[in-house]
Amino acid sequence: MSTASTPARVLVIDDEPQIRRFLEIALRAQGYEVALAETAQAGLEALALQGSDVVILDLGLPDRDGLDALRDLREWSRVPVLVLTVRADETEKVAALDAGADDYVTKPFGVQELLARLRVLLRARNTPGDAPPMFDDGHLRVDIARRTVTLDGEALVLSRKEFALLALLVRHAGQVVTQPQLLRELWGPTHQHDTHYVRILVAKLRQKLGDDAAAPKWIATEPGVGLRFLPND
Amino acid sequence: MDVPAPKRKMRTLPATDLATGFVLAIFGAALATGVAAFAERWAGLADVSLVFMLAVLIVATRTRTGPAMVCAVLCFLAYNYFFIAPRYTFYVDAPHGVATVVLFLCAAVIAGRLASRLVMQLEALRETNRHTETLERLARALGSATDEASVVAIARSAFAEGLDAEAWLRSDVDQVASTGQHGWWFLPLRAGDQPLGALALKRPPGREAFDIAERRMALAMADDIAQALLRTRLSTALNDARIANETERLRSALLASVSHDLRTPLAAILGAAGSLQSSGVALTDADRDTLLDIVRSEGERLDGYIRNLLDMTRIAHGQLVPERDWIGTDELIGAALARLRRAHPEAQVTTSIATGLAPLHVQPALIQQALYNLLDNAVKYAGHAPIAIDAQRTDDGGTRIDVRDRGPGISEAERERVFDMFRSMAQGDRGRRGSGLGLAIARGMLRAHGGDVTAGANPDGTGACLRITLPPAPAQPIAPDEDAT
Repeated sequence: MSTASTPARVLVIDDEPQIRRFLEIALRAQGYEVALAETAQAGLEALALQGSDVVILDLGLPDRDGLDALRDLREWSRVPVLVLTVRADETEKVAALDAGADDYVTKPFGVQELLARLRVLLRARNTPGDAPPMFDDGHLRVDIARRTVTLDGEALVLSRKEFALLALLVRHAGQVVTQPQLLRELWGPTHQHDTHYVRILVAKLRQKLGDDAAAPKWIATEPGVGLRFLPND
Repeated sequence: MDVPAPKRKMRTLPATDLATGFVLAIFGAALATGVAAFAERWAGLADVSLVFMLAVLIVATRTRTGPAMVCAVLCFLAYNYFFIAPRYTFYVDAPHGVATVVLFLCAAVIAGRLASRLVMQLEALRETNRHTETLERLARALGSATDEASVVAIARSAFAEGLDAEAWLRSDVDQVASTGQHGWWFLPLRAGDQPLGALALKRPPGREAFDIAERRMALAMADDIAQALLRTRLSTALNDARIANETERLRSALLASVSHDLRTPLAAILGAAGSLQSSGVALTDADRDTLLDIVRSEGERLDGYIRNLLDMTRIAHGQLVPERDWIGTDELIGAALARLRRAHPEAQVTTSIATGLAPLHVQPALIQQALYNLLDNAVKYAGHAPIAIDAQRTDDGGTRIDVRDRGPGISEAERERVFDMFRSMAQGDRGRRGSGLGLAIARGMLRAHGGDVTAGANPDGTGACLRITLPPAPAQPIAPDEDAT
């Protein structure tokens, strides 16, 4: 977390005063600079005028549909967005992620969970823009630039698609990558509904990594939503 | 038997048909005269009379009594004129000649009448048969009708097929005299004394009006339709009453449950927050932590109840149609365990998953929720004792997932009742903390997938074993060889 130099700026867009209040307190206590907005309109304006390092966006806003606002925002900004949803079905989460959200938290949420997600988003922002990210936790080492993967020092032979999947997940480490997104990026837009491709591929990849879906070390499934690479921090 | 309904024969002869009959009679007599003149060279006078008799019989079977009689008389005259000596006069000189022509006339008239009556009877029989069949078909179709709209549809098609008539049926009209106007024939629908509506029939333009037999059939059909209407109405009313009753029961149980289950944690939260606010400096750090912990954990408990209520309404409204997708059993277990660890960090769970389990074709979030509910239940009953998850293939190619705990177990009498929504709601969370609706919800979600969850004991007789079963998934589509693409 960048504390000493310039505190990261978090914009909270939520119409519930009590949520804004406790988020402000919790985020300040963590050293963030906090800006608050009550409506989508005010939120987008604040973002356009003052900017922000990360946005927390509630999907249930009084003035306009949260998804709509999100799509709008994505037309001109690449700022990481964490959406807050009330527990509806998974389709809403997938829709939000596909509309450009980087991650989601379901209301009611624990502050710890929210802070963990924020840290992931800010870290992704802080990695230098062009260099492809690299993952190394002492066991698994993924070097996207060199296209090499080693497990406990031994090189793994991955197929093209397996490597592409792993690279995609590592690039979004800590964030959920939706099923439609995986299909789009790995198989192209014509295979949007062939969800079993992902299932089969991820099963093969897990097997090569020695990962267990029932107790995942790296690749976790979020049922009905997508996959999440666990950064283990 | 499935005889195609014969085309309607003319029951009452219209003028044109009658005229055709007479033409046929004259033509028959003329032809018979020609044939007789030709046959006379080889045959005797007596045989010639048989030619005329044959003509009368043929005309009688083709037409009705009137033309048959005309034909008989014409044949009698022709026979007399052309063949009985002296020829070419109507005068008969020999006494046996008189006897011949008179006997011929009598025989021709009687045979003609008999033949035409036989034909009419046959026709009437066919008609009756057809009516009976139409009625039977109608009764059979009405027997399977479950609502008023389908009764109306069946009635319309029955009238169109059986009577070639357009039918109009209204169930909100009480009294209609059975009168005809504007070509419509109105008849009331009644079951006993109870008026049920009205039926109106109309023949397409160009078709003659209903005759007596058809009217009788229409009335019989109307009776059947009225009975069917009454039956569907009664069953709808009964069903409505039952649903209303059940909804009422659900509503009151729900209200009781909501007020109790939601207020208990709320009371704890308000109490703890109030203590923090008012007691101020008198509290030790440990006290303060305890109170804060109460606020947090009771809030989570409240969230759990609300989740359950939402899930329950989702299932209780029936019609939960899963949006299916492929997912591995291991992935579902992993996700449910991740949630369990967040809610109950102290829980100990061991898993054993058979290798090579076929993937499930389910709505992943729902089955994950069901599995989570079983795990949550196990933690509540068994506390810190380890919980075991065991996933295996079933004999029929489906999947079963056992959740085993080392808690007090579930008595045999309770094994079915723990899944009863009403019972769980009525009990609320008195008894045990938060036994709640979790199991009933799990069952609802699994049954929506054609699966189930049942309760039993572990093989060694201790604790509880909750078993999820899911039917075999359809064949999984084949993915392309990934490196070839």
